Amino acid sequence: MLTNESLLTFNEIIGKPFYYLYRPVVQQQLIAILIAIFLAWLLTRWLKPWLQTLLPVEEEVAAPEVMYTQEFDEAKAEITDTTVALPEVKKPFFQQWWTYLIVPLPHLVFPTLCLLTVTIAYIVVGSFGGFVGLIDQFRLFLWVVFAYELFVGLLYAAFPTDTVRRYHKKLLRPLFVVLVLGSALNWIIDLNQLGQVVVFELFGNPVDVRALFLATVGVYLWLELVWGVQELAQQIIDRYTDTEAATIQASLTLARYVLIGVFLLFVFSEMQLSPTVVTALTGGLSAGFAFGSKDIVNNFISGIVLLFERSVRPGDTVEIDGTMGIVSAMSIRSTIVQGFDGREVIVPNEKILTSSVTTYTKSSRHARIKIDIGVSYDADLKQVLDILNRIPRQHKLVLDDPAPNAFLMEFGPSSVNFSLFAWVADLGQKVTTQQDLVLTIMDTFAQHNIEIPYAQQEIRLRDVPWEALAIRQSAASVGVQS
Amino acid sequence: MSNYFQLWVIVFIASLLTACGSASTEQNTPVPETLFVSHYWTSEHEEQMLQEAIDAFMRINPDVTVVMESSRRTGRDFAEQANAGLGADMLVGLPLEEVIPLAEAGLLQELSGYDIDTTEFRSQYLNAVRYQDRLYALPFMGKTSIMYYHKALTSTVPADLDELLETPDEAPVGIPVNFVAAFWGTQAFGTNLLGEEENVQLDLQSYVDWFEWLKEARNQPGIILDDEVFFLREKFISGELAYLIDSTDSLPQLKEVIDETDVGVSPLPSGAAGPASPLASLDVIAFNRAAAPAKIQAGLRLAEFLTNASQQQKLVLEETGHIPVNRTVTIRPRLSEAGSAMAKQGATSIAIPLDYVDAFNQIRRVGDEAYLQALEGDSDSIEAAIYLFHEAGQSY
Repeated sequence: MLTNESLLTFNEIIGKPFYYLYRPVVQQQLIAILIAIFLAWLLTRWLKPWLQTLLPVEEEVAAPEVMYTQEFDEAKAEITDTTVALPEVKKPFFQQWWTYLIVPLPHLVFPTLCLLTVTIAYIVVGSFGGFVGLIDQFRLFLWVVFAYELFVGLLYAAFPTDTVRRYHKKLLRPLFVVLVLGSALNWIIDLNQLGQVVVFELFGNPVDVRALFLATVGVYLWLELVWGVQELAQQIIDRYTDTEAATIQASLTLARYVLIGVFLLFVFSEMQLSPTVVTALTGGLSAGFAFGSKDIVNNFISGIVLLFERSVRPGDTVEIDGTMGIVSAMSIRSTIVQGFDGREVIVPNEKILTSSVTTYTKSSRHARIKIDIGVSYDADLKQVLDILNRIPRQHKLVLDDPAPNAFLMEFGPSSVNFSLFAWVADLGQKVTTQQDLVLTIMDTFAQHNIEIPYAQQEIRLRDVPWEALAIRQSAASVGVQS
Repeated sequence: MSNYFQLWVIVFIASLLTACGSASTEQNTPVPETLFVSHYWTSEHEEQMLQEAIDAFMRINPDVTVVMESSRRTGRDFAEQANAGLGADMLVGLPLEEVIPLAEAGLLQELSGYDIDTTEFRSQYLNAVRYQDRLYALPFMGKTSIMYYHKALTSTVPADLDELLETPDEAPVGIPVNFVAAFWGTQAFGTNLLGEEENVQLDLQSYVDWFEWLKEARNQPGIILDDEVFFLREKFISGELAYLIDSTDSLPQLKEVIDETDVGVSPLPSGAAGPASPLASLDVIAFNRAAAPAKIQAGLRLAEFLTNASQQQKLVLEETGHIPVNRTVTIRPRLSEAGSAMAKQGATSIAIPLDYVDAFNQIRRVGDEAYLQALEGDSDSIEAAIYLFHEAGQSY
């Protein structure tokens, strides 16, 4: 057991790398590494555009929106006896196996070239009898970078870009940097000893580097890691099970907060915050804390109640304060509702709990489509009913139960009016399905010469004093001339 | 990516320029030199001793700042660091046997070109640190075998092997008998390990005589022979043995578990041919080849300070079990009985030169077996000695 006096000080820790930097042999190696990296960077700049022309890598390929499914189109052709030209449906890029080879390539160009140039530097410096240990270690580091970039590239190939980008920037990259810095520092000093260096005292308890690291970087990485695991678990469960997405997200959110809470307790214990200190903290600050954080605590508790009660869940279509949209995320403080116009409304959880919220999807996500359509009085009404009943039955998104139905509703002033009712499984499918059906109905009616009449009005003028009107008009024109 | 890269390059170049700029200033105007020292001593007391010595050095050399830390706290192994040009400038207390791999890897600074006063070093230790006619290290302190006695059980100390045989049954003696631990006896019977050409050369007659003496000792009820010194040490601590031959570095442990005033220390008993010469393991001072010349110069000043008679005496008097390498160190028994014994034993101990470590290890491998044959097998002393010489490739 070492005494505190024998532990390293911050000056020693920070000073040592600079101390080494003054050594000529270290400077020589660093310059060699720097030149090698610079050359690799230049080569990358020159090579990457050329490589991209050879390999048209698309990192972000969105699946094209298919308005007409193949099956629906075939069914429609049966009705109309005509062939409608379909928009070309591209296969999703990421379904191709070779994308796993191509997508990581741009990520690997720089590390590969670095490895090449640094290896040349290693050979050249070594041939002159110079120290090469640092260059060799840097080469090893580059292999690690290579493996990391390969891993990231494969993630981009396998998963949606937006998701991976967040993983990459908020979790993987910081984690990688921390690991690299840690191993580099471990080269110079013993990290266990560094961890025991006392940085400051908190309420009489010494806070060492390890505890400080855990309380800052550790907490950040843990939050991101837990978030990452939650997202990953959600995607896997979504893909491979039939469990309702909203239920999964609520459960995973709860689990995330439990994990965060456990980690925070662990950090407190590492910071050696004794129960007395915690009591003193909470006791002394409780009054101010209570006033200042009333709303936060309200929202926090409301968030937990909402997650348990499941009255509103992620993915639900709701209407709050006149804003209709989908609950895109629920956090412990607020709920984000994404409006159909793209706006995101952040609603405090307390408000959802205490005010009335219209939900369209609480007990069922089914949605009903209603299409009103009028046809000419000259049309064959039975044929119209037949077409209106057959078209939705051929659409794969229209549910069989409840079955779609068309009804003759009324004799309108200009047309005979029908209403078509059909159900889709999810509210999100309503608009596109409705659009499909309307377009198909229009096409089919045209094929069968069924007219959809414009609104017509016939105006009849009776007992007009035409002569008096002509005299008044001529008098007015004379007055103007004089 | 490119923004990060550019930032990184700027910071890197700025750091390098700062470093280079300061270095050039250093050549023109004398600036205080900082020396980074890594030590290999393990106990807290030893570390404290070293720090005190270094503090004393800095008081009389205010232009040198020494930053010392334990080798256990420098992160990676020194060899790995030094290969990259990193690591401490100066290594203090490095075990001698670790010099060979470091020197062969070109990681230690060769010191022959420096103006070093080596006249005060004991010649056997200075010879030991030379490797392939080059000087890669300087002797610092050593450890060797010595005789401990329990003052509560006996008041006399046998001066020679005959007296040791005559110790009364009430004051038993524990003697470890493996090749290294019992090496001192062959020297007492006249072997000259390094021979005339400074090659490892054993003397057959000395071994025969020593084996004979051990056989005789084995039959004495008051003498216990064992190849495991640990077993004997336990008996000494429990008061079952009055005398124990053990390494000098056992002194702190013995003093800790036995009443400090009851632990007596004496040089090993001499033999017919002269004083006993146990093997010594040396701790040395070495320098990182990556260290700048100015650092090495400052380090050599520190090395000279640490090995001068005064500092060596101080370190011995701390009674951590180290023997001095400075030939001028003498300590009166009245000042410290243990220190005096350490200094005397240090004068007759021998260290295996680095050039002969391999040859010695080869002999050592069969040496233990020869002791077993002589003391526990059917072989007589001559057969056991011949077996040793034959197997070790020694002429006789």
